[in-house]
Amino acid sequence: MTKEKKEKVKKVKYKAPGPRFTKDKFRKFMLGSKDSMGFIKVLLAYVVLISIGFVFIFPMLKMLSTSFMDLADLISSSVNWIPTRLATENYEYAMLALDYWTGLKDSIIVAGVPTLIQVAVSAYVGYGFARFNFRGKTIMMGLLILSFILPPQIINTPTYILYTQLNIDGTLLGFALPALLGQGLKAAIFILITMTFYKQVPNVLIEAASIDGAGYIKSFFKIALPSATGALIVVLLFSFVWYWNETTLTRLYVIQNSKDPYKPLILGLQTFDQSFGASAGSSAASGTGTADVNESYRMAGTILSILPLLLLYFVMQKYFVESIDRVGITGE
Amino acid sequence: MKKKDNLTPETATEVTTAAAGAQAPEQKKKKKKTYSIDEILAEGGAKFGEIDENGRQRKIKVKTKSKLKRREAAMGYLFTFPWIIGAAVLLIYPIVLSMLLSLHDSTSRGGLTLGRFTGIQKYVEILQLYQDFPTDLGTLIVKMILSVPVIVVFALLMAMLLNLPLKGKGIFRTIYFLPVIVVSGPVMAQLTGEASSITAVDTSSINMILNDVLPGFIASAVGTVFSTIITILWYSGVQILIFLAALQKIDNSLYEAAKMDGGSGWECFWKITLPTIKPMMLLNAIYTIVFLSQDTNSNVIITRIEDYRFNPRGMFSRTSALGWMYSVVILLLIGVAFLLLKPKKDVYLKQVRKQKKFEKKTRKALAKTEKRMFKNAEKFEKHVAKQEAQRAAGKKVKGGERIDD
Repeated sequence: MTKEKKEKVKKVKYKAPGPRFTKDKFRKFMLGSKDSMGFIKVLLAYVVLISIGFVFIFPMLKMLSTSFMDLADLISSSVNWIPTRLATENYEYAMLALDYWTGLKDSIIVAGVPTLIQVAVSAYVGYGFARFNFRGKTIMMGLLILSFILPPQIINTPTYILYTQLNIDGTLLGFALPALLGQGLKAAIFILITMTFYKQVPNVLIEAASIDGAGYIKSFFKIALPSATGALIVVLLFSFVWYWNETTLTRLYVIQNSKDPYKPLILGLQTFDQSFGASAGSSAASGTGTADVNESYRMAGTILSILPLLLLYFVMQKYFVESIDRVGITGE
Repeated sequence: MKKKDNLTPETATEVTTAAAGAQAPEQKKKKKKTYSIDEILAEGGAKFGEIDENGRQRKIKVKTKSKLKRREAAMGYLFTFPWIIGAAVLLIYPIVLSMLLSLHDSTSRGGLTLGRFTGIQKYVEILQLYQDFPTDLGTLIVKMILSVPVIVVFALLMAMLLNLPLKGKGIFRTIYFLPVIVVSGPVMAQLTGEASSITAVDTSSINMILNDVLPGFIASAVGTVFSTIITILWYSGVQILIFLAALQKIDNSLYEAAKMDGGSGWECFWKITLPTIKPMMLLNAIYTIVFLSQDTNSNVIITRIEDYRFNPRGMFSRTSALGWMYSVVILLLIGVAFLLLKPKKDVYLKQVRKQKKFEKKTRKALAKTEKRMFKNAEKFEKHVAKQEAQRAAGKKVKGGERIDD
């Protein structure tokens, strides 16, 4: 082939096929074809997602904007979303009222310790349920589900009595012990989640490992556990959030009858109005002349009390969303 | 050693089943020493050939489960033992105790002492003390009936939208799961509290129309659903998550095949997505019912149950009684949800089972006939022999040759 011929072929190849913009093309672009979504559909999806997403995020935004308003802004009808100035002193007073740093420390202890135990135990127990067959497994699964659907208020009273008899009420053991025995806060869900993840580990892998000389414990630590990291992240996040936000049980098992009670933020938030009057109110009065609790202070307190959770969520959300993508946390 | 262990069971199982099959009828008569496969194999199967003092082959019993299976079962218990202990101490014991408590007087000083047996008196007491209980329960049930479908359908729609191949779906997912964090606990109470009307929606016009069309009881419930629509949407974070996970598990080739056959997106949804996702709908419905029934913020009855525990002090019996009444209703609701959404049995499997049953029946009948025929043949032979004998003796045979059926 000569050089000229080659160029000719190229020219033919790159000639535009007909007019660039046709009715058919437009139709295809707007309505989509079998393998690509049309522009209208994409637009519609975005509109719906954004508008409902706004509903989801709206209270958070409103909370944020309210928390930065001073009293004048709150009253003024011309200020709706954007405060005239950032009233950061709201946060200062809310921190005072919540006794923030102590509260934060206590919250992390009260929620963190049982969570870590819960993660470990559900990782361990879930493997037992997912991998092995043994007598009574069906009954156990039934009990597991029952413990999920039965209102915990039934169980709480006798459990509380049991704890008082064992003298562990009013200590962190009131949370740690049930977590250790796989009966922590909503533990059934977590065990089901880890179980589903383990079931998706191909059995062949474990068999291959056992032929190579790995025992059951070793194949659990080397194969099953690493492939269930996604589940563990879900469990960690949910468990921490639920323990963090739990008020009734915290008060019943951990705070009540305690000589030196923990002061988790969430309990502080429940009694925010009183504690504000007692501690921050006076200093607020001297500062800006507003002694009463108002919405701004409350919202600032609320944001402060869930701030650690939000941070945790945003740090973890990448793994979290990914883990849903990969395997899914469905219980079957 | 380990390698050997792992290799033997496969071969061993075959031997076991064969051996067990051969020895099965003999096992029933006498209980003898049980031999494990390893023992039998070690003697090269000599045990089978042994002859006892009566000149019969010695019957031996073989453990039917392979070593591997037994070891796996043991490991299963080892892995689940924390939960087993927990279930016994912190689940079954409290359930039983709470049931007993609701039927007895309780004196709370220094832990627990069951008092006089009162029967259902505590339950009656609750109904007298807490007269709004039936109304509250009714409102709750209506609220659930209305909001559970809303949440489930909404969650499914959102999950399908989030599952589309769009740009920035990661951001959307982050936003949509955000309520999971905020929705529990007093944060929600702050948001829905009277002072802050953040989650309230102005629904007066809708309510007016509703009141005209519907009877008051239902209208108020529907109105509540509309006015708390934001909270209802917020409750669907976990459900979206579950649906999304399930959607991602659906094999894409199913859709491709359907499209090859000319199925539209609409048809694909009804014929592929929905059937595949149906078990998750059940799961989500149950999750929603459980969540709503245990939600301490909006649930009046739960607050009551909590109240009775220490107010007046140590009314453990009352708490338990109310708790049980409430639980029974919730369990019934879950049962209804289950019946409505339970997976239909596979038609093919159903037919196979029917066929098997039929075959078994036929085989039984056949065996019965065969047995009877055999018996009759025996009888006939006997009869003939008797006649022969009589003839031989020179006696006259009465009648014709009677043959039993």
